[in-house]
Amino acid sequence: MSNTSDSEETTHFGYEEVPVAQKEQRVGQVFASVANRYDIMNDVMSLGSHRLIKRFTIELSALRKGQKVLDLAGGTGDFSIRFSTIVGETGQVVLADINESMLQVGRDRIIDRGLSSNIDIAQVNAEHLPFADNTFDCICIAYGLRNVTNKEAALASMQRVLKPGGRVLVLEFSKPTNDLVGKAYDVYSKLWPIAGKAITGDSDSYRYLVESIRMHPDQESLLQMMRDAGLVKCKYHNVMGGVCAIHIGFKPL
Amino acid sequence: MNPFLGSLALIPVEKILNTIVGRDPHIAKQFLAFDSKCIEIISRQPSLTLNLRFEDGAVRLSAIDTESLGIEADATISGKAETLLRLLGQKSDQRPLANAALDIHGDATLVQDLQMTIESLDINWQDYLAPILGDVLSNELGEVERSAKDWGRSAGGSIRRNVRDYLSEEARLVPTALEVDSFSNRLDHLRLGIDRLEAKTELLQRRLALLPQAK
Repeated sequence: MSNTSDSEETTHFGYEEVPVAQKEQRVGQVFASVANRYDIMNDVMSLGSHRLIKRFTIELSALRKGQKVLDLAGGTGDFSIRFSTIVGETGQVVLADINESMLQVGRDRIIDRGLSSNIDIAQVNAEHLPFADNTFDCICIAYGLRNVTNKEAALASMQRVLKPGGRVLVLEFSKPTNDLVGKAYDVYSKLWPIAGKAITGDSDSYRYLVESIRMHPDQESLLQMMRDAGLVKCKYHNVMGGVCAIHIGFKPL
Repeated sequence: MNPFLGSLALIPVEKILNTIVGRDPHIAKQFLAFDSKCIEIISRQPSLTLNLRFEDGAVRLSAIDTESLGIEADATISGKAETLLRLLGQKSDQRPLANAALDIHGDATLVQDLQMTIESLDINWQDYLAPILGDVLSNELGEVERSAKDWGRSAGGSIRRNVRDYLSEEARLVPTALEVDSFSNRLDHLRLGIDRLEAKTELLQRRLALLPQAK
């Protein structure tokens, strides 16, 4: 975040600098606009690979029956639906997002699948999670952290609500580790606003998504942020040549 | 190996294993004995990690090491890839786990029990793969598996004979069986000779003791 000459704090909204207080609202508008076609666009933008990346992330969660998991910025419920099966009737999944439109889509999908018995839905701000300390065995935030205004506050909040020994998984777009992959990805991502216009009628929202990926911290920077938030044994796994990365950190025992 | 790619490669294997377990109540019951257990298999050459977990009667395969998963393996078995692969083909009466090239940490009994269980199941992979892959392809795979086993048996025997002959006849690092027998016979002959000498010495001493003392 940075300061303008008249001392109003600003942050990035894609490539644009906006007052901190405005970012949340602007991000909210983006996701309200894309909510209904979010899953289709995920398939288009990732050429279907997001399903494999999701599977790998779920594997890293090492969740078992009876455990509690927070699917933060879970939006349309992709991860929650899968977590629900893993933790079973004795476990609990909390699908949480700041955006009501995304949660509506998620809630409808969960009800359609008949999975609402162990999934609770909550509209929350990741920077100030309204849960008690030491609540969750696992917190997963997939493609959500880059939209949070104060990432440090969000990571600290996640650390607080984790049980000792619990883990945080951050799945996010990151910096490609290979120049060739990076160039190909750059060219490909320039098509997203065009696809967004064709599929959802909204190119600006997808322009923001592309720009927000560029502004997100790289793998090592995010790793340090997690350590600064009090998480230990932090590491990351690059997938798709670093186009995405899954960071994992644990709350000390 | 990249854990993401490794895990992708394991998806079909896990699916097939769980299809087999799901269709055969006998196999499912056998595997329930290992529920909530985790075995980590670490190959050194090439460097690969596989962890095998049993959860609610299902098998979970992952290329992510247990440390990254934040779980503890009940047993870890490590060695070169070829040594580990050979475990699959060997019978338990050949004591395949008593191999100096393998490192087993943790619950060795678990590893042994699992190996014996898999051996006792005598899974006919062809029968289980047919509904998934089709009769022709699964028959072809079955033929490949049987040929590989036959080759393994004959190659294994041939290799053992060749190595034995090389060590004894060419490199002369170990004696041949005939040389060992000959040496052993000479040792026996020597031992008998010593026994006879001992007996004669005792006899002479007794006779000397009976002789009147010289003045």
